Amino acid sequence: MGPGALSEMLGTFNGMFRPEEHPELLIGLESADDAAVYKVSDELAIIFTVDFLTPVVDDPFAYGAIAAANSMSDVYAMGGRVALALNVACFPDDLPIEIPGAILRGGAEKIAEAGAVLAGGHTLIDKEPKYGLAVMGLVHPDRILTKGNARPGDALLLGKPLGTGMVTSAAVGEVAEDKHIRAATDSMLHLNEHASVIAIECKATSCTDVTGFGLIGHALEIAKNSGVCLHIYTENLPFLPGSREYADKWLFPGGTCRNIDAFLPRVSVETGIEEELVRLLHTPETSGGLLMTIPANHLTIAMELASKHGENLFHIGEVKEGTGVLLE
Amino acid sequence: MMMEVDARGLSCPQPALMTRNAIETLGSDDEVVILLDSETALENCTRIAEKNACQTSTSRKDGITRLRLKKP
Repeated sequence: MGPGALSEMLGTFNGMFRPEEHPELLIGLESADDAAVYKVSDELAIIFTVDFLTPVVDDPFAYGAIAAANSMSDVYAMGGRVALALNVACFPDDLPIEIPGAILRGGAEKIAEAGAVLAGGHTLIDKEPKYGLAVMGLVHPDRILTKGNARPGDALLLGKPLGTGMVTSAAVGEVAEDKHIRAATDSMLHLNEHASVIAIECKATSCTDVTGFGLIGHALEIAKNSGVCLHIYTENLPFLPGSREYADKWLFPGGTCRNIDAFLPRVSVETGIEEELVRLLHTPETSGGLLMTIPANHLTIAMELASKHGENLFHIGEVKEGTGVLLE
Repeated sequence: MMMEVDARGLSCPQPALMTRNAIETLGSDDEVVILLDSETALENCTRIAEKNACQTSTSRKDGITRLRLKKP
């Protein structure tokens, strides 16, 4: 769903669960974060999240693995480790059994890679395949990464190149080059596990993952929850091969327009920045990287840790006083 | 020559691609009409036409938009 419709829908029951009646719910509907966090004891909190996708690539095994990586990413964005997962799936009843089998196998292998365990799931018959996970993660209640503590002066970092949604949109139109689809697939398959560890070690002040609302939508969430303005250096932004080219051809998916309508009024764009680039930054991503803010004096160590783990990490901007997002 | 492309019921980027393909076949003074039923598709198709130096005009009836494109 688009961000506007989603917000309106949530408003219908938002007031039903009063925070003061559920003090153990540390993160819930009120704070619009990546996952719910529920305190069990002074040392332990549960991170709980669910996410599922329609197919983003043709290969069923890769689709399953990407959907699983995407679902688990919300736990990493909250600074937790993934403990337990359940499959959530819909498959057409005329699909050859090998295909759902490959999708579920792809998901299971990604869960194993994360060091977590698959414990069950639920499947429905539906016209279009859908697959993802309900995921439980664990975190110390004092070390939860939220979107709400970015401070002026912090550095803004991004953990993966942008453009997965642009490339998969071009692939739907059968105009994407194979090498571009492969690069986007590899990026979507990559777990945000190490990026999360870097965020924790560098005392990240805020963290989220870049998914359906695009870079801009998720940056705006940090800006809003933290009461700051995020300045994004467009020249430093990393892009998957082919994504700029497909944006220049205006092959944006429908989600780009929904995000533009919802977010662009809160974005300042310096003159000279191309409209295609602004749209690309509003384009939904799948299994995107972590977007985090860290104290500027931890920037060097963050880059050293990324290098040590063989992890992509890009310094894409900084936090300043104000509101919204500024593209410069 | 007058051509009609029915992109109703399709989600982006399909209408945009159909528009692009239609423009590539247009000769001077040829026209193409794209039938659309979503604002998102209309916006994307209009931008592609403008990027390809086409003149555009739109008319609406019964929830269907007719985007008329012409090469100058």
